Amino acid sequence: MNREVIVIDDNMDSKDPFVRVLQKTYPEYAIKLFNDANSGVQYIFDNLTKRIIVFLDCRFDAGIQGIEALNIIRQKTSLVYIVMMSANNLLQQSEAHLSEMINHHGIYYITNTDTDKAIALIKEINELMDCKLDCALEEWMEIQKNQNSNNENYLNIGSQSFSIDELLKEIRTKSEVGRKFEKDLIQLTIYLLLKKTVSI
Amino acid sequence: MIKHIIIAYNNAVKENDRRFFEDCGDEAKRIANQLKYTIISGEELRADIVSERVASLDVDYVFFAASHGDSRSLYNSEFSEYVSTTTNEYLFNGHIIYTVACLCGVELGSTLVRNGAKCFWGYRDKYIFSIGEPSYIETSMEALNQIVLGNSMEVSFQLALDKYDHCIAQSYEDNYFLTSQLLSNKNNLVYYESQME
Repeated sequence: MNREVIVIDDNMDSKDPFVRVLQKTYPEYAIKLFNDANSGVQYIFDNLTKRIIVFLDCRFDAGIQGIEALNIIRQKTSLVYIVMMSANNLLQQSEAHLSEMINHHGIYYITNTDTDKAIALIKEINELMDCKLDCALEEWMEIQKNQNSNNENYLNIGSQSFSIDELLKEIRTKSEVGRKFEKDLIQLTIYLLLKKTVSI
Repeated sequence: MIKHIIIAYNNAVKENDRRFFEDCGDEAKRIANQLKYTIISGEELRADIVSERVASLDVDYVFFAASHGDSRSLYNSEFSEYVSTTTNEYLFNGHIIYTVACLCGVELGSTLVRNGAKCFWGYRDKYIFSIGEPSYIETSMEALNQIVLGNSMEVSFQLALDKYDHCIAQSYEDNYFLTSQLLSNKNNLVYYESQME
């Protein structure tokens, strides 16, 4: 699985200590740097199959702001982990911005000079992604998509037909259907665990 | 003793899921084997035709239906109800209704039994299927097979659950995801039996 750290910040370049320390600490990750939020968001959308951790600055001198980018990403996927960064500490953020961040799943916050915290968060998020069912399901769906010639009409729930792409969308957006799939997978795991013998 | 099966399924040209419903209908015909059966399908799947075919029978029968449904009705591709809690709930007095449809186990089933049906089979949530995966047909039709063989409703229910277990054991290594949906169907299968006997 490809793993990438995306840094979206208009005040950083590839020589920035923050970027260099991340690259040195996690050589297995490709570190991509974007100076405007739109390009960063587009890159994320083009690479949803990769395991991505995003460091997203709150404030940009031009274009969309960090909170707007966060909302755009969350409309499409809840499975990308996002670390919001700012020169200010959390208490200096506006109430509206705080509310936006708190109300999204998988959001972290650091000041943009705190490389130690960034390093610790990458480790923590990576461990989370390793054991999270929704991430595993997303990966499995991607494999099915590549292996299955019958991508259209893969599953029917009542009168609703889903292709694998559509199932992936449900999982990424944590819709009612996507959450049902997660629940059903957990129930099957429990069922198999508790069954004393599985005979064919 | 069951003598006849009315096999109703939605294979109307405009129905997207007609292949699955038709597969269910074909399996019902196979299960009927030595019994007589009547087909109601395609554009005929309407309340007036159902009433007419039911009225023409004076033997023990099972009314089998594979189509879309909701908590209170079975309906055709025109969204016209052919069995419902408010239009023909009295129709199946003394007989068994067996459905492969969404949600009919929520309210339709208990209403039909309250109005005289001997037994109702269905699902209390959306029925899930993957076209071309035979385990979905096998599991959804097993109880009908057992009823026709002469088993009681209770035994047929248990054997249907056993069939689900068997298919889950067979398929989970190949496709964990689709197997989880089989389990979901298993957990939503219900039957309501009249206490009048």
